[in-house]
Amino acid sequence: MRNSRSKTGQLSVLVLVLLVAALIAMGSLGVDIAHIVCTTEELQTAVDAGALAGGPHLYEPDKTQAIAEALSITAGNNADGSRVSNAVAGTTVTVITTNATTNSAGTITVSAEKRITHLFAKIFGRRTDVVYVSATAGGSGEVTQIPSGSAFPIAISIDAIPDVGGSQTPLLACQPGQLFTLYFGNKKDKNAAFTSFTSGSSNVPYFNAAMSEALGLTHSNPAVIPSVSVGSVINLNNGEGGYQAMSHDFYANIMAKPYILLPLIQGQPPFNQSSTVIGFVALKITGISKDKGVPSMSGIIVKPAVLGRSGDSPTGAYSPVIKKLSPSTVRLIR
Amino acid sequence: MREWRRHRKQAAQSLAEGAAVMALMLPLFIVIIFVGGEVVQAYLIKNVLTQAASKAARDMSIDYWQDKSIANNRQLQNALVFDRIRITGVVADSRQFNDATFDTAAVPPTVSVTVTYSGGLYGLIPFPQPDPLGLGAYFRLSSSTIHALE
Repeated sequence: MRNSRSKTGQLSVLVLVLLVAALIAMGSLGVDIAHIVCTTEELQTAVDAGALAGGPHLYEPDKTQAIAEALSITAGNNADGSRVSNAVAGTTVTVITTNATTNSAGTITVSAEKRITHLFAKIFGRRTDVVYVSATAGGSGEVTQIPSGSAFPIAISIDAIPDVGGSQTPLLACQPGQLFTLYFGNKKDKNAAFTSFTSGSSNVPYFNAAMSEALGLTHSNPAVIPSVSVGSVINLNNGEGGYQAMSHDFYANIMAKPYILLPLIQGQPPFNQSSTVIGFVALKITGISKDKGVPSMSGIIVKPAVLGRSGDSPTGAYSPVIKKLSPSTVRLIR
Repeated sequence: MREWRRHRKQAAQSLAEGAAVMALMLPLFIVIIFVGGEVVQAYLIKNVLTQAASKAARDMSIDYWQDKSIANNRQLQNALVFDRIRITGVVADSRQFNDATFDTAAVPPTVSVTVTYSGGLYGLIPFPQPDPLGLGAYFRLSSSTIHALE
């Protein structure tokens, strides 16, 4: 009889102990899942930042800088209390790029893998797990606003046909990948004009500073070149100051750049007046000349992913043309 | 009849033992559930802080090229970025963000943003709650994110 009572009591205790164990197990599982979710989010934040940092360099033939900047920014962020870097044990960060072409900006994918140690699941024999995330950045959407310090101080007309002899094609009839020549003489023979943006000054020192900034040789604070948007009203100049500034030191630098970003305007560039920016185009400059006294630059139309914002799509008569020619902004696309 | 009495007595005994064990274990149950729930909630707060810091750093990097004075102007940082980030129960006030740190000499130039959660401050609900041990005063969670300047 005593034996039977004792057994009943033991059973109650056993059931409760099992319940507590089950409760602890479920609680631990919850905590470890929350730990995994939190670490995954931190990793995702790190790779997103890395991909966005590498994106603007996709158009460079050598991807070293794109990869280095992506890894550097990824490593600047923490996940689960440690840097998201290959230098940290248990963490692997890889960067894969696809090449840009004249028609596409290319992509950069940053992936990170991290082995995390569970807080409680190890009690039940599961000590670690690996979480994996990736982010891909590339070009998406027509750029409608570009950062200060980045527009080259020459505006191109989308529809002007320069009077330089021979059959000239307006920009709107060109395709990405095609060679286009912009003429910025001081008479009718032009389809482009130097611009001092919103600055009242248009002398040689101004254009020297502006071109240095646009080519990344110097960077003033505040920038000489303001942020330019579709709809911005910019000053157009007769080009003497600009041409004098450019003709000396900048040829090699312009040709070495993967592209320069130029604001688009509409109509024959007027002398010393203002014009409204309707979009942007990127040119890989291949030649600069002053043949028969007419200064010109030739370049291949490219579509890189650039820093900037893409807002509402350009509207109006030239909208499809601008979409076709416009560079895109760097965005996370996956 | 005797058998039935014996059975009844055993059942009562078992019930009493069960109740006694339950009385001992119930507080433990409650503590385990409470601690587990609070730890999970802390992770979720941390998760949301990471998202808030990331958004702030990204927005700050984009706004930098429109107005570089944002680097040294807390009011501008608030107006353009921090005041626009509100996440119910976690980010309720721009004072939760530290001043954004711009490193323009780095390659690439970077901006770093840190956001902190302290339960009970800035209209946030106290954490943990209930807080019998008064731990809330010492409880702070923060998250930092670095972005390249765009």
